Amino acid sequence: MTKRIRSQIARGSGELAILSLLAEQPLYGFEIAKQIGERTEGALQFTLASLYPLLYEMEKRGWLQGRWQANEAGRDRRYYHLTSSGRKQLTPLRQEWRAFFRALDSLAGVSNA
Amino acid sequence: MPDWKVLIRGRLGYHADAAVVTELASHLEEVYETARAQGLSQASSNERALQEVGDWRVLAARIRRAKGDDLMKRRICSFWLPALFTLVGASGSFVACQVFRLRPHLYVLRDYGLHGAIWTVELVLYWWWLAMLAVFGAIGAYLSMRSGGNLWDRLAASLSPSLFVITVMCVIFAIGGHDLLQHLGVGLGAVEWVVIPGGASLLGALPFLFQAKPAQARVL
Repeated sequence: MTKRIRSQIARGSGELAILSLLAEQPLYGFEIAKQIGERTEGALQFTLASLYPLLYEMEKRGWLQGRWQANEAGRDRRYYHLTSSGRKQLTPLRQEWRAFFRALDSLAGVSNA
Repeated sequence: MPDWKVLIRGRLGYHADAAVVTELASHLEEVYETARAQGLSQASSNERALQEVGDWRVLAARIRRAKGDDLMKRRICSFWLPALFTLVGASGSFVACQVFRLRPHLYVLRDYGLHGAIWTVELVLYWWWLAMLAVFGAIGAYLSMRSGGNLWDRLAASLSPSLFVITVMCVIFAIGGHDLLQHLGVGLGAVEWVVIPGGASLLGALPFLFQAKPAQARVL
């Protein structure tokens, strides 16, 4: 049960992190993982194994759309764009997480920890 | 640097989506190059890249689950629909041969005595139908190839009429008698309706069996 809750939290936070990043600009997988790691100072880290299944699932739900583009070096990269459906998910997801942290804070005082 | 595409294709299984293989290979390549740029040795960089994957079987299962609907759709498009088209085309062209009275050619293979009687073993070949089978075999393999089917999908799609007939024959053989005549009949039937038609379908499919899958841009 604990593992299930943990995995759901990780999954939910991953979705929010990816949607928030892609709301700024389209990025490809490696860049998404790199930016999440850098901007959270390593608190949130994605590996290939955790990132791509989540990206594919979000794409299947219609939140993201992948498009192949070649960079200057001619290497093919799949850039993920946020769709209008994905953009609509962002606001309720942020509200859910805010409510979650408020609830946790009132219970455990995590914001002062 | 290892060939990441070959490694990933080998680990994820032959049915791995070409676009997924390219994308994951590109990711591992960048992890490897970043590690090398940080001064790590080739072996350590390789190890760091592989740490990104962890358990290949878990990754393959997660990707399959994430793309579940697409996998099913691809299976239908790359195998079931081309196979059905080939089977219907083969059956339709056989009916057409009957309607237009295109008579088969009889080939007498052997006369011999059995239980005191003279038996004639004849091979019945519908050349027009075999020519049409080559055409439908080619169409089946082409449709499968266009939908991203691998060698086995293309082969099975083009051979679907023969696969269907052999299945029916196996059922009849299983529920029928097992005397010498039955064995001879099934053997001759298999040559007439499975082996030779299969050869004709295969002949038509050959040009499309070993062609590369469509480019990833078209798949997407």
